[in-house]
Amino acid sequence: MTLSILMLSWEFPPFKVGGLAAHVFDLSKVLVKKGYEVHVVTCSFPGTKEYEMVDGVHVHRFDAYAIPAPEFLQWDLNMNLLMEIKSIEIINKFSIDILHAHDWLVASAAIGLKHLFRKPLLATIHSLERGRRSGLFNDGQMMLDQIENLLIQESWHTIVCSQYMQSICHFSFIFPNDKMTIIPNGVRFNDFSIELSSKEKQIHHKKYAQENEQIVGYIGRLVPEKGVNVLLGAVTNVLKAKPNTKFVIAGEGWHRNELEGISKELQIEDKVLFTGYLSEEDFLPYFNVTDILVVPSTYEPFGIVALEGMATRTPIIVSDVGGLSEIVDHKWTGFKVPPDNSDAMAEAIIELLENNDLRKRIIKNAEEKLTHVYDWTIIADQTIKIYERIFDEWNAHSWKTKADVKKYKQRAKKK
Amino acid sequence: MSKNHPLTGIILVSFEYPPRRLSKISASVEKLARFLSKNKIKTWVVTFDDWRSDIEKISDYLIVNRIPYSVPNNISELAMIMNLKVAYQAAIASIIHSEKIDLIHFFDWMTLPVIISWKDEFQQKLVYSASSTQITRDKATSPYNSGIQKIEQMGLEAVNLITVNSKKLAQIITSDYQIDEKNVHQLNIGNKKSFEELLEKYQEKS
Repeated sequence: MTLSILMLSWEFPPFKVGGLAAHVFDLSKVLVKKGYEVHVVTCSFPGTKEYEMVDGVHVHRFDAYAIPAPEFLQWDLNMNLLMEIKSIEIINKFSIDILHAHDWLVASAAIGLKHLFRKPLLATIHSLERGRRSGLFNDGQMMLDQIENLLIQESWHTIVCSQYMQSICHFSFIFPNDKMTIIPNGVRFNDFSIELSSKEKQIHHKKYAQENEQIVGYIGRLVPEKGVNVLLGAVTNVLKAKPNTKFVIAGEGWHRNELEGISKELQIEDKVLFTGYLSEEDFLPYFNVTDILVVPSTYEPFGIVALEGMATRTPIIVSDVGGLSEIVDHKWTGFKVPPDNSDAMAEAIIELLENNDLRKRIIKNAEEKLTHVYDWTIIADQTIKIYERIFDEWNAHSWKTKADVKKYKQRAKKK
Repeated sequence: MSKNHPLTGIILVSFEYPPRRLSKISASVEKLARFLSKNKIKTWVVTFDDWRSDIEKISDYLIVNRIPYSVPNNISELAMIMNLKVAYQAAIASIIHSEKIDLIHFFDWMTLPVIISWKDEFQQKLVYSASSTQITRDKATSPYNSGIQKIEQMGLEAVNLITVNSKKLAQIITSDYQIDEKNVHQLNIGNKKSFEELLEKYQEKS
């Protein structure tokens, strides 16, 4: 059975804020290869087309700024109204079977469409506000939390990326486990596993460190929950044991000034480099010249960067939190250290820098786990099983529009 | 009053309905609902109350659906209105998918997001009653006010008939919002005479 899916996602390449854009695109591409018709409705971005077909995926964009707003949260709620209008146009033009919403940012549009068209709504919850900020401290956060809860409650079924996320949804929102399925995020292994020549490696290594220095890297947003301060706290201890180490922090975020301040305070500025955003051409080579990749998050619903590290054959050290705990098997596919513990982080970095055999073993095991668990084809197959299951459940149910009763009867007859 | 009117079902969508009273709209909508139901038009009131959520059958011809308040913490009034949209939609959808509804009448700007999002999907005549506009409520230029004005603009353009309670408001809607004056009708909804006049307007072809 092949179905047509309407994905609702506020970001889609080339507009990328977090990992959502890449997730929706990567999943959509594989679904198309497997015979599914995939439409993505997303915000427009300067230079992008209102409609285009990208690798077989129908991409529909709309002006997301048509209703003015004073700040992001209000903008998002206004944007949902416009996304809903665009989606109605798409649903009427193409024969859509399932609505698939990604995160709270599109909840209002998705729920409205569900009730109007009486279609099954699948939600993927990538993260939750109560985790992103380690609690709920103001009206804005409470509002997001309630919207996230509403989206989950309104959905026919929910996909979560880790056991950790499932338990949070279950205990926070009193949501039944049998209405959730864990499907992890994936990584484009073939794209990431490219190995640079030694000459290219030298060129890129020079951008960040002296020739004789080993690189300990971090890549991601510079926001408190990513725990970069924990890594900075480990630097002095690592340098005592391994003075030829350079710490390269790639990425941007509103926490950067504070992190640079910590670096100055600890007098480690000459050993810590903040690169800012990496360009497309520097992105993969950065992994290639990094000896150890550190993911020191204090909150991580999944932790896709860990997979990217594994795919680029970079040994990883992660905090033992959230989805990271599930990705990494300690001393087998990486290292796990207790969260918010710079001493433990330093010990792990030193051990891994000193032990070449262990690094090689970890790289090999990680690669094996990637191909068996985190390959997009496997993830798409798991997603397809959910699509088919909820479609069958919905099809057997009387909750549908009169037009759909007729349409699906005819479709069944044709079979 | 004509007893042979062709209307069988009407939905009234209002941000307030007794016992919740924020303005005169609450009582006016209730009186209108009772008037319509007495005339054997099945009338659904879809409304909001911040302390109760229920479906109350008043009579065979009058049902009041108070929507759930699922997102009670909001960063602004506009955010609250946007978050209530899905609850209004769920209630309206459950009615229009199962009942014969000829017309949907929306009261005040708080109900406009529903009209805007579903305007092309409604098979029913759409009526909107305005008692003010953001231009009259708050003259300050700000992205927040501009957002509400834009929502009003989109809503006013989407409906078949707009009723206003003053000549001044009619002027604002036709001049500042550039709405065709043939769609704007001055009517103070509240007494039997106004309900009869409104019923005639309801019955006119859009």
